[in-house]
Order: sequence, then structure tokens, then C-alpha cells
Amino acid sequence: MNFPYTTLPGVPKDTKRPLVPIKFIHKDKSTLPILSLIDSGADYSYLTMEIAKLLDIDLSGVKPHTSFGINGTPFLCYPSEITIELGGHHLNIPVQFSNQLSKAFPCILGQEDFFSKARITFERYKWNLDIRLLEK
Amino acid sequence: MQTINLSKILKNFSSGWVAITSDYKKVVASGKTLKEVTQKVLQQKRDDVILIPASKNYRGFVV
Repeated sequence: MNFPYTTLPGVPKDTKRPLVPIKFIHKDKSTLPILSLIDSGADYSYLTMEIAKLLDIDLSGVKPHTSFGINGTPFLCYPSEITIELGGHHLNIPVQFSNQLSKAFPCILGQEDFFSKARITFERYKWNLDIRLLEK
Repeated sequence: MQTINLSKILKNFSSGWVAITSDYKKVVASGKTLKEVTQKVLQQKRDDVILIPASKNYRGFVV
């Protein structure tokens, strides 16, 4: 599956990012497709707490985990699992819910386990992201 | 490959969420929260919509 990079407003100039429309699914509830950042530099996948609330994911009793930004700033997140729909295919991946994510990128798909379940090739030189899901 | 250019249609939004048609050409709803924009889209009974978080600046972000 090929996804063109997306040009977004930026300061001082526009910026291009590898974004992919993804539905987040829990039991019988689903979000609309959300443009999500594919981020090989993120250890985990991080989602805004808004998605947990929308899908009625119960995080009470879940022990929070501390992640760290690139400058070492800690932020709290709550581990869970979710199903994603990508190009018509479904995958179950672990995610970290947090209300301390950047408002610009509240949905980030990172290494564990998403990058273990697909071959992801960043072809920035031609503004293309190639995602091939691995056979189960 | 040509990029999907959302720079123009997002320039009037600085926060919250924006719903755009899946051909990336038109804004159909916006809202402060994911729940609000989702409800607005569902009221329109559309199935050709993609959501994106709104920001004035997507540059410079780097766990």
C-alpha cells in the first residue's frame, strides 16, 4: 500500500509528513479515519485520551507508564490494546493513551508492535510511504 | 509522487479537529473535540470523511 506524504502548515514554511488514514476500533465501536503519523522514532504507538473516551475503553485500574520526550521530559500514559484498520486490513497493536501529546500529532504509530507486523519503507525522496503488512 | 496538500484548507484552523472529504479537497466539519467533530460528521450521514487534528504549525516536532 502506497501513501503519499501530506503537506501541512508549518512555521516558517510548510512541512511534509508521512500520515496515513487509520480507523481505531474497540469492540463494536470505531472512530472515523484519522490521519495518523507513522513514526519510526517512537518506541510505542501513542493515542490521545480522546480516542479512549470515544471508544469507551476503560482505563481505570490500568497502571500508568512514564514515557519520555526527546528532551527527556516525562509524560504519563496508560497502556492498552486496540485494533486498527489500515487500507481495509485489521491489526491488533499495543498502544499508550495519554492526554499529554502534542495537539498537532495526537495519533502516532510507533515501533512496538506496529513495525513488527508490517514492512514500512519511508521513501521521502519521492514523497511516498510504502506499507506492506506481513502474513500472519 | 505528488504530496497531498492540506496546507491551504487547514490554514484557517489552529486547534481542535477538522473533517475533510476523502479526496482531501473540502472541509465538511470542525470541532473542539474528537467527539464533537465525529457527531457533526455522523449527523451529515457522510461516509467519505477523514479527520485531522488542527494546528497552526506541524513543523519541528520530534519516546
